[in-house]
Amino acid sequence: MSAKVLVADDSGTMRKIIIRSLNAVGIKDIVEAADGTEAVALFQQQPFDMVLTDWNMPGLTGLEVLKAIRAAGSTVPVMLVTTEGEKSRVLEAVQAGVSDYLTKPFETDALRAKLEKFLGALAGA
Amino acid sequence: MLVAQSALIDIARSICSSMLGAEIEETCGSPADSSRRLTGYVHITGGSKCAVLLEATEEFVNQAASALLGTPAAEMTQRDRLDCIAELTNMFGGNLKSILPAPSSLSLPSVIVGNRDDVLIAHSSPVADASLIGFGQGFHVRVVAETSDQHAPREMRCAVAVG
Repeated sequence: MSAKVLVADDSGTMRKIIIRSLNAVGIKDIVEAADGTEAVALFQQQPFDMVLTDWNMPGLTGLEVLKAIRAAGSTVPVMLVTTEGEKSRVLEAVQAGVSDYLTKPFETDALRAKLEKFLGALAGA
Repeated sequence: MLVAQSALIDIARSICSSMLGAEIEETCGSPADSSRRLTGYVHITGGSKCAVLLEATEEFVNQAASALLGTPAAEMTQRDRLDCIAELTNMFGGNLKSILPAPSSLSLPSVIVGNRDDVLIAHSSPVADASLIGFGQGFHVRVVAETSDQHAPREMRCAVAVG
């Protein structure tokens, strides 16, 4: 399965954790963004099959990244990986069109399970 | 503002267990050694106004970074350690925010090389502290909040005081 994924997080540590999980499910084509502004710029420049983004980042937030992607008419799966765990935040993200949501801290197995679900959907599309 | 020490310990246990694969235990106060320490902090603003500080020995952070990155501890760089404690502090802040009055916002984390007393947050004082041990190393979580009366005895302003 060939999928290209954009990973946006201002923490290099968190990007590495996510990339390790992506590699573990066979995804090798990964582009990194260190903030929300860079994420939107990269998304406008090239096609992606999935976006994983943090919420709290310098520049644009993950929610603003999500809104920018949806405003551009894209239905690409977007997963928020964030410490923002309040129901109001999750609801805000759902209303903005988020595809999945993972609250930190998380077990890497939980992230891998969500990624495998995404890959399964991509294969069936 | 009331923050229970048990809430800090629960958050610490959840983060250390799921992200670091480490068990933690409570201890009374930080050990008085000369180990170099790193301290991360984030501010919560809005419905709740406070700051969360995470102080840890450099060795704890080194072990934590190694666990997070799946790379040997000997290969960790100072950048890895600073980024690691920033992310752990972010998780502490985010998880604490979720149990405080909403709506509130979380700042981006900052990190200093030094201990928690080196971080001066004006017009604030500690409202909760938890001293813990993980990887055989000490770390400490503190919540400071704005106080209406800076001259009030500390025990009247603190939900919990440890050590």
